[in-house]
Amino acid sequence: MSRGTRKKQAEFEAEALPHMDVLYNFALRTTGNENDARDLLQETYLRAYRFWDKYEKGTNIRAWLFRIMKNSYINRYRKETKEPDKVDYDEIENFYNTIRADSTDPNDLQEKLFGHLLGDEVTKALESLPDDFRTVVILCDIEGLTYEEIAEFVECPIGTVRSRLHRGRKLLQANLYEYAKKQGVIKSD
Amino acid sequence: MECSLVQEYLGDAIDRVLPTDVEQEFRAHLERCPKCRNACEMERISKQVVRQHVKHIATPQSVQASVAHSLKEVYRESLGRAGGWLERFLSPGVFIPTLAGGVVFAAFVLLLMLPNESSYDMSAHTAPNDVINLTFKNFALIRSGQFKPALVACSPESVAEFFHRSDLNFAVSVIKVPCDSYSAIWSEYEGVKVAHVLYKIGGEMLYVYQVNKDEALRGSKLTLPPAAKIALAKSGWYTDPNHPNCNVVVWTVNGTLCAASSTMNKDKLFAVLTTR
Repeated sequence: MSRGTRKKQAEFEAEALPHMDVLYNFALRTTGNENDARDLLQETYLRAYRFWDKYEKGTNIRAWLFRIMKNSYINRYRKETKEPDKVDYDEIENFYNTIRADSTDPNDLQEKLFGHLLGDEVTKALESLPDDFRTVVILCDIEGLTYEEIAEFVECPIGTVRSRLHRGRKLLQANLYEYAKKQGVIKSD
Repeated sequence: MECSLVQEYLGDAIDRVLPTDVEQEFRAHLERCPKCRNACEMERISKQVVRQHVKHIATPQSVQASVAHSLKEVYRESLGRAGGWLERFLSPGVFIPTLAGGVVFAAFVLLLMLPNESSYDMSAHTAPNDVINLTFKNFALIRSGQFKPALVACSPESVAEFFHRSDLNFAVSVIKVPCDSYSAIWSEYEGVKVAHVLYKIGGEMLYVYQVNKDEALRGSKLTLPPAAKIALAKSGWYTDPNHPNCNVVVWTVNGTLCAASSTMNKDKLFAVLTTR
């Protein structure tokens, strides 16, 4: 193996592999299962290595890897674009107003609304979000990325990140509200 | 401030800091507008619920290994055009380390044959800052998955490059042995920087703890048994002769002190370390 090839491999691995966690988590939340997440992660790194010469040194490596993963996901698991469900926000808001009347502590409200939810249900609610909304919710609320970094990841202005996040969270609330209703935590009208 | 503008700032209010000129007006609006107050509260709860239930999880070791394995396959494909075994053996990357390894091995065998006058009990390795004890403990943590490498790579060069980019005050020594994968991370112990390298060789694991030699031999944070310091000064190598089960081998290379522990028995460990 030539010295140049060895150098390329070493640079690639030292630079790209330490970001595996954020990619794996995104893959897991996006595909919804460990096997697909592993395959997607593998494919991402193989493509990244293949295109390593195209990576501009000194730029955001995480964002670059993330975009490769996003494209791999779209190519591999391309589905019909999900349209956001029709959500009756008024219903949630009315319910919220009624329970808020006898609550002063916000944590108490959270407990009343979603305290009985299980991790799986929240995960499912998250996975059911349309891709663009789910992506920003994962990157912000789970991975703790800044708006600026998310904007770089998804290649769109910060204003778009802000609005997708707002809409994504509203959809998530609606999904969780439905789960809570099904569980009988919240009474159906 | 209008409701529409408040809605625009909701995310910023929850995820980061509002601009100072906006904050006061924003809070005042929430005080008098139940609709915006609810919206803000719901968005906060939504974030909280996700954070609480959907945790960031570390990449499982099996997944890290499969990524390393698939990369290795790609590298191997590009190696397909390489020459035969003799050409590879005579290449500087193989022949010189092999020759050097043979010399080191011979020196090491001689060292083992020398009578060892020092004798001390196992309590020499129970001090919390004893390098040998720390090596044992870290290896146990790595094996149990509690201490997770930042990098799992296919080649020793990648590990060297990883540490080269880290701000360590010593050169990390990476052993060139054929491995399934190489893992690396650095940490601090009482302000002393420490490098950790893990080699997976077939079903075996080899862990090497590395630190600045002066910190280990003369510093106040880390310690080594006196016999180890004497042996390292004489030959550059040390292992505890009184404890066959204590398969930690300590050596120095340039300005770095290395301590290796392994799932391999002591003899096999010596063979790997000395024939590299």
